Amino acid sequence: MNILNWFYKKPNIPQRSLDDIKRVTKILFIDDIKFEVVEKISTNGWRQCSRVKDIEDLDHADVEKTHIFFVDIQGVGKKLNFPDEGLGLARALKEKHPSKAVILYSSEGKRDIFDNTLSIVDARIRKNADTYEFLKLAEKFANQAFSLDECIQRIQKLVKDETGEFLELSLIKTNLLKVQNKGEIDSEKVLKAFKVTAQSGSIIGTIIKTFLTHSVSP
Amino acid sequence: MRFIIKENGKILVKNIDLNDCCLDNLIPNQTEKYFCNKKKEFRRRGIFKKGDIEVLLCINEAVDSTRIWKSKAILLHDFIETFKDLKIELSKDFITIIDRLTHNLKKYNAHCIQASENILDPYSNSSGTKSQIDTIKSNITQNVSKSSSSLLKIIKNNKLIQAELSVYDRLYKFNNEKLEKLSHSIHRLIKATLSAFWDSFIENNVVVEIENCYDEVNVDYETITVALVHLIDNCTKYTCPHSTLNITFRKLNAKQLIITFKMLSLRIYEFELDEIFNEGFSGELSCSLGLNGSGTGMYIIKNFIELNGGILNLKIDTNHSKNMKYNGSEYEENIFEIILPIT
Repeated sequence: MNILNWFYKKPNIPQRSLDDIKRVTKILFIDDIKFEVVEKISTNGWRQCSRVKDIEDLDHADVEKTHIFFVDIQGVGKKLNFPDEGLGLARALKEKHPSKAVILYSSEGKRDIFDNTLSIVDARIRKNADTYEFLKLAEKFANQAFSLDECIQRIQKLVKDETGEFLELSLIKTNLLKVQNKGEIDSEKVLKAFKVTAQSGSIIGTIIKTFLTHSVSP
Repeated sequence: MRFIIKENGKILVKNIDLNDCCLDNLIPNQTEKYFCNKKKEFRRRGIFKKGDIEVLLCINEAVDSTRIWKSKAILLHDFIETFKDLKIELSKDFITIIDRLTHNLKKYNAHCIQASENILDPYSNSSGTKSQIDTIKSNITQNVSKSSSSLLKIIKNNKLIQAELSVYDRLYKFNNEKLEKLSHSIHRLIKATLSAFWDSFIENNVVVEIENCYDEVNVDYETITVALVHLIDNCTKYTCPHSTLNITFRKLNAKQLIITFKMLSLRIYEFELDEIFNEGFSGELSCSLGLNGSGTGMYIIKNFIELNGGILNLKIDTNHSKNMKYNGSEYEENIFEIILPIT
C-alpha cells in the first residue's frame, strides 16, 4: 500500500448493521394528536423518532433532515392550506423530496381510496395497525436509505427506467465515491457518471448524499 | 341522447350538466321539436312521467317522430324501474354486511367492557383521577390472576375487533389497495397471535405446543394476521378440553413452508368438507353446541391466506382412529395445513 494514502482521509463506502441504520435514521410523524406508536418506535431503538403537529414550511431544516415521514390523513396539512389535509401534505412532501419515504396512515378508508396520492406515496398503513407493522415499514424504508445494496438497487432502477441501461454493481460502487467533491455531491459529476437527465440526476444525488454523509455516531 | 331521470323530483341519473341544460320548464307528458342553439341542430325534447319516475329526454334523431321519442323514453323508464329493484337488493346486501360487522363488534366490545370492569368498577366510590389509579392498583394487587386474565381478554377481543375491521376493509369495501408483502418470521407471527388467546386455551386446559422455526415468509402482515386470528380463535372454540394443539413447520421445497395445526377438535363430517370454506357455512356439531358464529371464519381464513399467495388444506381423519366423546360431543383429529411462500 502506498504510504501516502495514510495521510489522506480515504473516502469509503459505509457498511451498516440494522442497529447502525436505526441510529442514523430520522423519522418524523406528522399528527395533530398524540400517537403512542411514536414512543414505542423510539423505545425500539429508533432514537431519532419524533412527532410534530403540522408542517409550516416544506424547506424547514427538520423536514430536510428527515428520512421517513409518517403522515396522518386527518387533521394535518392545515398550516399549508391543503384542502385535503394529510393527502395534500404527503403529496407536497413527495414532490419536494422524491427520495425521502412518505407513508400515509389513517383511520378512515372511504374518502381516499380513489385518490391518486396513494399511488405517489411509498406506503399506506391503518392507524389501528400493530406497532410491529409501523416498525417493519420504518425498517424497510431506512434500509432503502442506508443500506448499500438497496441504494444501489434504487439507482439501478432509476437509471434503467430512464435510459434502459443496466448498470453493474461495481460501476455504481465506483461512481458513488467519484461524484463527491470535498465532501459535497457534485451534481455535474452525477450527470456525467450515470448519464441521466437533471431530474433523475438530482434524485440520485440525494440518494448518494443521504447514504454517504450520515456517518454513524458512536 | 341527453337525459335526466328523476324519482319523486330527486335526480337518480343524468348525462347532462344541469347548468347547461334546456330540459327545465317542460310540461310533463308532452314533447316538442326545437332548434338547439348550442348544438346548432333540430332536436326533440320532452318529459315522460309514469308513477314516481320522470324521464327528461332530448334526442337528435328522428326529430319529427313523437313515437320514436316516446319509445326511447319508455325504454329508459323501464330500465330505471329494474335499477330501483337492484338498488334495494344492493342496499339489503350492504345492510347484512354492516349488521354482521356491528353485531361482531358489539360482541367483542361487550367482552372488553366486562373484562375492564373486573379491573376497575366504574361505579366504585373512588373520586378523582389519582384515587382512581390507586383503586386500580389495589384491585390488581388484590386479584392478580383475575386482573391478568381480564387483561388478556381485553387484548384478545381487541385483536378480534382489529381483524373484523380488516375483513370489512378488504372484502366488502371495494378496496383494491395493494398488499404490503414483507419478510416476517412466521414463528413470531404465530406466537404474537397466540399470545392474545392464552386465556382461552387455559380456560379449556388446552396445551399449545409450538415447534421452533427460523424461516421467514413473504406475506402481508395485516391479512395474514387476520387469517391466524380466525384460525386460532376457532382452535380455542373447537379443540377438545384437556388436549394438545400441535403447531409444526416443514419446508415443502425451497420456496414454500407448510405450517401444520394438528388438534383433537369437534368432528367435521366428510360431507361438510366441500362446504366448510363457503361464506355463511357452519358445521353441524358446532351449531348443535351453539359455538357457531356467522359462518365466515373458515371462508375468511382461506380467502386471506390465498390473498398472500398461500394455500389452506383441511385434512380430517377418515379412519376415525382417534374418535372420542367428551361431554357428549364427538371429537376427532383434524389437521389444518397452511402453505406460505418463503422469503
